[in-house]
Amino acid sequence: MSGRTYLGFALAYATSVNPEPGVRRAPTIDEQARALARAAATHGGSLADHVVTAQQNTGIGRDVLTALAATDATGAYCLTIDVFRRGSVIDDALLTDVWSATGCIGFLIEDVHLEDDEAFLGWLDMVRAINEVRARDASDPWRTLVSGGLTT
Amino acid sequence: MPSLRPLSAMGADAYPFDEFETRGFCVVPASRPEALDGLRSHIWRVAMRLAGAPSTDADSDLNGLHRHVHGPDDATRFRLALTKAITEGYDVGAAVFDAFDGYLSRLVGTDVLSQRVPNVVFQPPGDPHPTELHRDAPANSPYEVVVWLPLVDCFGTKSMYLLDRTATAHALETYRRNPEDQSGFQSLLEERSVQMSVPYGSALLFWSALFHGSVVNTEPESRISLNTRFKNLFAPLGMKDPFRYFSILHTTPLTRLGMRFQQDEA
Repeated sequence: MSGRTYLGFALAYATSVNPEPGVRRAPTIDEQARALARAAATHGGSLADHVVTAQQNTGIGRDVLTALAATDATGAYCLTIDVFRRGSVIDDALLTDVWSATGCIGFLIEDVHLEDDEAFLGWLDMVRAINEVRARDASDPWRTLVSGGLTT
Repeated sequence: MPSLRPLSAMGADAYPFDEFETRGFCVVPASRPEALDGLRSHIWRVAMRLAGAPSTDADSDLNGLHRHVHGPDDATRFRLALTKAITEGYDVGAAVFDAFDGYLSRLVGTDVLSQRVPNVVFQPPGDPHPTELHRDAPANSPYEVVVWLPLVDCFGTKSMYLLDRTATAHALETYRRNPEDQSGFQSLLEERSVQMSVPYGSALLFWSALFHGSVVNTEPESRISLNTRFKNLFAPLGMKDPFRYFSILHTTPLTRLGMRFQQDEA
């Protein structure tokens, strides 16, 4: 058990209904805070009183590093990796800075809890690869390529 | 139905992947049978522990798993508990890829995303909840391969059915022209679907965009199987969140160098 104090990161969904297929409505910030507190307790810690809220598709800003320092948090617990997502790109630099400040980060929806550098770097590799893929998938040259089809 | 090329004596190197491209599926023997046996042994032992029964013989124990559950709800509870238990401290996706590496590497390459939690299907005889006709893509990526892995011999109604590429395209066209014509669509399914026969030791690999499903198992034995998905790390995504459904299984040294290079240059 870690005994860590986690700074919670909630996500204000752009729409209150159907954040994804099969989910009737998006969770409120209060519901997210309670879920993050339970997750923190599961890992032997507790959630700081203040919860940072990211806007969907905008993500959190660098001021969260100040918030982390102000709360003396020794971990971060996020509803989802999308709290770092700006448009189609996850801010991997900010994610890395949050990691450097805490050495512990959890993602509730993804069911991921990272407490060592090797695990974090593996996760970061996937974040960076998915960033590349999403950027390419959304690009006009890629659309042109796949609409023409491959013959070899 | 096109005849299935006998593959029992054919190694992955010799497999004609143009057939996979034409039909959208293939049934192949494990390229590393010992890896498959290790995976099945793990699942068998966990299943018998959950059932509170002694492990005697993998094949007969798994075929007779229905004797330890009491009704459809109990079967569902057992399946969910088994799914959780087999993945605790054991990477099922890695074991599946290892067992069929010779084929899967040819399909998805060597920078691989693996479904984080495999789906376990347990259908006791007469279970009223077969899998309805569907296709994974969309919402899954059409760049995914589905590995359907029976842990017992699966044939007839104990198995699953699918529509090959041509039949899937025909079914989609029929549906789009006459979305209200359910009986016509059902007739097409009965005419064009192929009931797969997959012995333990082999797997059905199929493209995520093929229609597939199952019917009520009328055999006197349990069907127990896994299904899981792989895609190339750099292949286009579907609508499902990659971070929830996948994790990196392999990357090549060259990919790792490239990613570090980009990171340093940035």
